[in-house]
Amino acid sequence: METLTEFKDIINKVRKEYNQEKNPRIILIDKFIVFCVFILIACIGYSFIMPRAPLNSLLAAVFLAMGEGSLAMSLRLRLTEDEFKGECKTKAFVHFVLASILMCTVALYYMP
Amino acid sequence: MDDKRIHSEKSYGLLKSFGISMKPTIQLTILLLVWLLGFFIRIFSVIRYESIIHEFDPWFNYRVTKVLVEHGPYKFWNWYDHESWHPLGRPVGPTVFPGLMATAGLFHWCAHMIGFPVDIRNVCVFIAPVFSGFCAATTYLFAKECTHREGPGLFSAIFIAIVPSYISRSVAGSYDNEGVSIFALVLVFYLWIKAVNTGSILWAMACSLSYFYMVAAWGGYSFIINIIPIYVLGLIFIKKFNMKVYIAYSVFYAMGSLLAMQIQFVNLAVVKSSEHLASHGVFFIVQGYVLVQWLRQKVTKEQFEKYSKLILTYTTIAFALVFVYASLTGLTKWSGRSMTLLDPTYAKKYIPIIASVSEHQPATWSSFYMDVNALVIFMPIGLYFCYIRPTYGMLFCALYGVFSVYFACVMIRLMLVFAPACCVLAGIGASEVVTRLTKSLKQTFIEENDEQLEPIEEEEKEASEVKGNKKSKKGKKGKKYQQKKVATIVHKYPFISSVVLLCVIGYILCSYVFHSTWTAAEAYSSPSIIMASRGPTGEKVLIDDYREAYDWIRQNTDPADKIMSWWDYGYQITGMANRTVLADGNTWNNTHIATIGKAFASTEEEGYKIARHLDADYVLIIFGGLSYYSGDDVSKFIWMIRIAQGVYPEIVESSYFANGQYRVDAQATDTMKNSLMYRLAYHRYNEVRMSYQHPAGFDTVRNMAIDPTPIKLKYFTEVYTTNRWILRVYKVNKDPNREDPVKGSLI
Repeated sequence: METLTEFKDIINKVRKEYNQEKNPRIILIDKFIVFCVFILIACIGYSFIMPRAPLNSLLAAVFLAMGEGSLAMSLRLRLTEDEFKGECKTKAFVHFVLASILMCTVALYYMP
Repeated sequence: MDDKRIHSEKSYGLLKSFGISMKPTIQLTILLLVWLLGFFIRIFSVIRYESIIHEFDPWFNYRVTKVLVEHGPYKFWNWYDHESWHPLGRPVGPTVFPGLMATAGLFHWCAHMIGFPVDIRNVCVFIAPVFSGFCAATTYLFAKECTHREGPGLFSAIFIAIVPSYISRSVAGSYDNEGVSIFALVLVFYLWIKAVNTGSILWAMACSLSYFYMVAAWGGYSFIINIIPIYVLGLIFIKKFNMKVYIAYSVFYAMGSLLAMQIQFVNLAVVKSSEHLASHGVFFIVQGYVLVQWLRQKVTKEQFEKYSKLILTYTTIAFALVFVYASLTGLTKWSGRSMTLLDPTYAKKYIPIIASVSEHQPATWSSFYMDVNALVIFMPIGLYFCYIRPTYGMLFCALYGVFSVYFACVMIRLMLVFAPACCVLAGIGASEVVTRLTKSLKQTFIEENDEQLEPIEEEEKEASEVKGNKKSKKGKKGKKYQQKKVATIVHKYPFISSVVLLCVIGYILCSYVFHSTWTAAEAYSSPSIIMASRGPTGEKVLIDDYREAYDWIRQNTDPADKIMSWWDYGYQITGMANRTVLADGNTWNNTHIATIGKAFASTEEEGYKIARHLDADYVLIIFGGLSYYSGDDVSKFIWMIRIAQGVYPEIVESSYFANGQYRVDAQATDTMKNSLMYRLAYHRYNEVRMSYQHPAGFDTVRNMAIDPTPIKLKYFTEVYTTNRWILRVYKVNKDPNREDPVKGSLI
């Protein structure tokens, strides 16, 4: 029971701290990351229920979800972390867009 | 005294400023000269013989490139080759690494576009020397990125341009995957270190694109996809993991895996083979680690310790269970070649075809000295400096060096993967030693006055800061780091020992250049299909038997005829003689090769039945007994027997040995004397007498005279024997008056 209440406290604390985040771009990026993780779990879960034939479509979807999630996470880190304080933020967005274009092109080519 | 001092300081200042202004020019000149050196050291065989494709495998690559150039990329990607592995054929698109052919095709197309009508053969012959120059330039960039100084870069570039193990696989004419893939390997590592140092998504994307090129070019890409995850895991263990590494690895992994699946040869191996398992595992570990680090900031210390232990044990158990399940149920499989790397005795016990290739044998001490020469001395020094003053790049070099040494010891072919690591580490070592000695010499000649002490103190402070902040500050300095240099406390070594040591190092490196030139000229430039020897009056005699026989076959046989020979020569026969073969160097069908081996190992009648069953019209064998050519089929016969024995246990290896000895004379066993290989090789050889010192029918390679009874062939007819008896072509007799009942029947 103690552990449960501790968990609840931790979750509430994290939620309160997160609500302090005011930058709409960061919130949007976080929602996108959650969306990617959800797609990943949905695809893998679906593959256990239904047959896995065309395997390359499943792999394209899985790796695209992982890839876009990683890219969004990298963008978020580049915008918020202290390590990258002096770096240009617009550059980070441009890199993210270029990398996303490449990744989506490759995944869509591999899918059928 | 003061005037003299001011004068010498002034001239020193002028010299220093001149040196600094000329620095980029000097570096560029050195790199250009290194490129030219790398090119010219590889074209000995073109000058001595002619511009020709060497050995065995390059002939297949050349044939595929010709199809690409003549018929376009779609025909090449979808090509089903009916001329090899008769009657099975071979789908070329999904079974070949297309990077090399695509590169040559691109060069050919570009050259034709700008008005140089270069023949595709010349593009193929010279592509490897050109890429060695690219490789040297990339190694310079890689070493510079690792150490943030140009000195190691320049040393590494000159070392890799002429290191003998790289020359052996990239001479002009050796049109093989390694020629372009070593360049791709170093490029991937350079871009990886750049991504780790900057934490930029763009560099990680560039790294994954170059990894895609590497996957397209060579099967050795599995080395990269294992060493980068191991490096990231190692960084986690030594607590040097930061967000830049996280960004670099996540982007590289996701994009690299997706791109690797585009190559048909790799395709689903990305998720199904055990070689990629490390990359998947480390990706999830990294995500978990970052999550845990983030949570650590949110909870108190005791809570964190309690939960972390719990979660860690559960996740480790889960991972272990998944790994064991995957391995036991065969969900993921190690390929045979990878198993050989982990357990060197595996191939000899289970896969004789892998064990029979001479390149797959373990390396010896002498081969290390022959292949990397003087770098063996400097590499441990470089390794030492990687550990005492580590940057992210130098840690990676050290890891790469240690792993590649292990693999080079297991298989001599992988000395090639060890070569770039050796060159970079040796470059670091040599540069550090030479820099320290020259700095101490400079101290002797130019007495630094007191104002200079302050910068050194600042540099000492920098040193302690750098060690604490894990290089993040260095990244911020940006372009300034070139002037600050890595903080070295300038020691003063005794004058005489510095000079002597510098001379010794200079001598060793000069001897390295001489050794490399000698190996390139004498040891590694032989095209294998043309050989040279000295005549009795000292003139050079060219032995061109291979092309003689292949030309004869091309001109005197029907285009639909099939040739049965051992798999080594398959690529050459399809490339030069343009006839269908039964087996070639791809060795994908072990049973087919074992059947051919059984045909050679059985009696003439049995061999004839198998040859007719396999639909062969001609048989080609290599015989070196007259010309001291030791790499012939009689020497390989024992491996034919072993491979056949693996599939057909009725063939017993010991029955071919007389008292444990491999004999071909009158004392050979009956099984040996009646075998098809023996009869085809020594047919009519008893009539040949080399000289008065040797008896008739003397086999110079086995050093014994064969049984003098003449060999009469019933089912085969000799149609061609080359000038020095090296290649012998026999026609398989077919009954002209009736339909052959043996053809098409099962054995």
